[in-house]
Amino acid sequence: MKKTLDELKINASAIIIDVVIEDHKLQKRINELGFFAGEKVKILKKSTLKKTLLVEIMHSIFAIKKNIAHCILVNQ
Amino acid sequence: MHIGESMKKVIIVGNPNTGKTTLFNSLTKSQEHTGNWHGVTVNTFEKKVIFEGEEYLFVDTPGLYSLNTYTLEEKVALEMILQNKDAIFLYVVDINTIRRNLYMAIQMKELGINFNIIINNSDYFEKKGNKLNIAKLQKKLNIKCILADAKKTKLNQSIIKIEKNIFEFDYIKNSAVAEITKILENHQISEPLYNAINILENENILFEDLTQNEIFFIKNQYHNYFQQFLQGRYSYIDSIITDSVMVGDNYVYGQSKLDKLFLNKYLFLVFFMAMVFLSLYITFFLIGPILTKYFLLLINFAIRMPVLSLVKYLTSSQIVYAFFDEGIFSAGFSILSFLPQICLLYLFLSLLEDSGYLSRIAFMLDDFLYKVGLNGKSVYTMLMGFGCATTATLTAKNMSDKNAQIKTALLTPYMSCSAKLPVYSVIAGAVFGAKSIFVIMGLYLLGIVVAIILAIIFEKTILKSKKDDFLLEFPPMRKPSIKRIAFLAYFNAKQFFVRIFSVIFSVTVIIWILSNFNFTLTYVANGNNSILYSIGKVLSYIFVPLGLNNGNIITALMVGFVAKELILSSIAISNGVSSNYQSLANSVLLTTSAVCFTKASALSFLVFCLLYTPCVSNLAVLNKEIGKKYTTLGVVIQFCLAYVLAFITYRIAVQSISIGDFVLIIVIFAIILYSAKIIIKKIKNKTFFLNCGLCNNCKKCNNCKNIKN
Repeated sequence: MKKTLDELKINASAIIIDVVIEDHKLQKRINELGFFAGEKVKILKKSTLKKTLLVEIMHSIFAIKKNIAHCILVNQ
Repeated sequence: MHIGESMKKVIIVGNPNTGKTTLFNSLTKSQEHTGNWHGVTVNTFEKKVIFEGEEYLFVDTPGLYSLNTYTLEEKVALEMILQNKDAIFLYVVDINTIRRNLYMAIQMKELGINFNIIINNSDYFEKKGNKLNIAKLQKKLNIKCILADAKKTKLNQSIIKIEKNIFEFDYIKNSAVAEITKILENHQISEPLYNAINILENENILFEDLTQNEIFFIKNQYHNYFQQFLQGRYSYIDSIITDSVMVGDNYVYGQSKLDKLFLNKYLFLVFFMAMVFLSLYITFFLIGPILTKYFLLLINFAIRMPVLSLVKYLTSSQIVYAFFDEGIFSAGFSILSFLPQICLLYLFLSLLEDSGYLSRIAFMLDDFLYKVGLNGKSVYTMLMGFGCATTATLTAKNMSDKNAQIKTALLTPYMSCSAKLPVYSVIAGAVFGAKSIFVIMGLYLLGIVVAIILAIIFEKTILKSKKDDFLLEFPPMRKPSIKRIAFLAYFNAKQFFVRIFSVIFSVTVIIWILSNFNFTLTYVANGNNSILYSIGKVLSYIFVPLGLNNGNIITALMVGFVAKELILSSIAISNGVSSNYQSLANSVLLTTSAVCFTKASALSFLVFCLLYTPCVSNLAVLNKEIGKKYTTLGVVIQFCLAYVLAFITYRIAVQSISIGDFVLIIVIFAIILYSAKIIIKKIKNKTFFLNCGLCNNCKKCNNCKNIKN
C-alpha cells in the first residue's frame, strides 16, 4: 500500500518508492543519507507534537521533520 | 592559518561524529574539543608533528556527508579537501554506519584523491553481534583499511603511508563528464573534474568564464545526473560490503534502552528540568561553595602570602604594596577562587554532551523550538552557551539555514554563561541568602524566556527560517569516561587560567590604576575623585531609574563589557576588599561600602548583568560569524532590553510603579521599536539585494554581472 513516510505508524516498516522535495539541495542531501528508492525505512518515534520523526534507515537513526517525511513515498 | 608548503599535510576527513577529532587528538597528542554530537567541530584545527625526522602538519576538519555540501561547516571541510588534493588523507569511517560513510569516500576517489581508511568503533560493532572481515573489505575496496580505536591510535608509518590506486567508475566514465571537464579545462577553471560532476549533479552553472553558447549546450545536452550517480555510488558500495561487513537484521546503531525515559513525551521534560535544577544546586550550593572555600585557602597560603611577604621585604612603598595586595591579588587573583564552580558547571555540560543525551533533547524540543522559528540543533549551541557564549556561538555553524544560524548566534548571549556565575553567586548570595537559589534560577529562566521572545520577533521580521531545516543523526548513548571528564575539567580550568592571566589580569590592573589615581595622576586610594569614579558618576545619572545611582556600580558594569568576571574585580577594588566570595559578600551589604546593594538594586543589577553584552570576545566572534550589521543590532537590543527589564524589575521590587513609570516605559519601548524598525528595514533591503540569487534580469544584485550575455 502506497503511503507517505509520515503516515506510517510507530514501528511500521516500509520500502521507499520515491523522494520528491521542492528544495533540490535538501532532496539531494536526503537521498545521500540513504533515503532513496528501494531502501527499507522504519518509524521509531514521533516527537511530542508529532512534527518531527525518528526514522531508522541504513541501520542508523535520523531525526527528520514531518514535512520532509511527507515528501517520501513508501510502499508498506 | 595557512598550511605551510614545505611540510607534508595529513588531513583527517569523514562523516560527522565518526571520531575524526578523537583520532586527531591521539595522533598529535592534542586536546581539541570532542563530543557525542553531530557537528562538534565547525572549523579546521592544525598541529605540527615531527615524526621520524619529518615534519607533518595534521589537519582536523568538520564532518561532511558528501562533497555536495549542505551546511556551512561542510563548506570549510570541502575547501580543505579540494585545495589540498595531494595531501595525505585519512578517511575515518565508523564501521556501524559504513554504508553511508563510504559514500563520500567514493566521491573522493572519483576525483582521484588518495587516502587510507581508518575504521573506528569496531569493538562496539562486533560486541553487538555484527561481523567485519577487514582483509576482504580492503581487497574489495582496493584502499588500505586500518582497524583502529581512535582514542588509542598512535602515529606510525602504516597510517600515513598512502597507496596510490587509480579507480574507474562506470557511472562517471561517460561522455557528459568528459565533455564538461574539457570545456572547464579550456577556460582554466580550477577543479574541472569536481566542477563537471557538480554541474551534472546540481545543474548549477556559476562560472562567468563560460560563454552563453556553452551554458546553453550544457543545459540542453545534459540533464540531472544526480540519481544516476547516487545509485552508481551506492551500488558500488553494496558490492564491496556485501560479504565483508555482516550486520544483524535487527541491529540499529544509536538505539538505547534509556530512550524509553529520554524520549517519553511526559517524562523527558521532568527529567530535563530536574537535571538542570540539580546541576545548578550542586554548582552553587552543595559542592561548589565548599570547593571554592578550600581553593581560596590554597591560593592564599601557596601564592598570596609568600608574594606579599616578599614585596614587603623588598620595598617599603605603600603604593607598590597596595598595588600587589589590592590590584593584583584581591581583585585579579581571587577570581580564581570561582574555578571549582566553573569546573563543576562544565562537568555537567560535558556529561550532557558526551552521553548522547543532547541529541534526544534536541529531538524532543524541536517541535517547540520550531514554533518560535528555531530548531533542535539550536539546543546544542544554547546549552553550550551556559558554559561560554563565545565558543557556543561558533557551533551555530552546523545549521544549513543562514537565518537560523544568525538567530541562534544572536540569542546565545542570553544564556547565563559561566563568567556571569561568580557575579550571581556573590551578589544574590549576599543579598538573598538561602533564597538566592530562586533568584539564580530566575535569572537563568529569564535569559531563556527573553531568548524565546526574541526568536519569535526575529522569525516574524527579518530572520525567517526554513521550516524543514532539521536533520540529525542520532548517536548512541554512552557512558562518559572519567578520563574525558578529567580532561574537560583540566581544559576549562586551563582556559579560565589563560583568561585570568591575560584579559582579566591586565584589565584589573588598569582598573586599579584608574580607580586609585585622579586626572592629575595623584594617588587617591579608592577615593571618590579617581578617574574611573568620575566617569562612572557622569554615566550614573542614566542609571538612576534602575536604582543604580552609584558611580562605582556603573564602573563595574562598564568594565563588565570587556569580560563579566571583571565586575567582581571592579567591586572589590572599589570596596577595598578581596574578590573572594566571603569578603565581597560582606562588603556589598555594608551601607558604608563604596558599592552596596539593597534587594531591589541587586535584582536590577543582576538583570542588567544577565542581558547586556557578555564580553568583547563574544562581539568579535559574532562579527566574524554573522557580520557587522547583525552584531550591531544584537548589541543595541541587548542594551535596550537590559535597561528596560532592569528598570521594570527595580520598580516592581520597590513596589512603586507610578503612572510616570508607565509613561517612561512606553516612551522607551516606542524609541526601541522605532529604532529597531529603521535597522530592520535597512537590513531587509540589504539582505534582499545581496541574496536575491534570481539573476535573470532582476538587476538588483551583482550576481547578474557574473553571467555573460
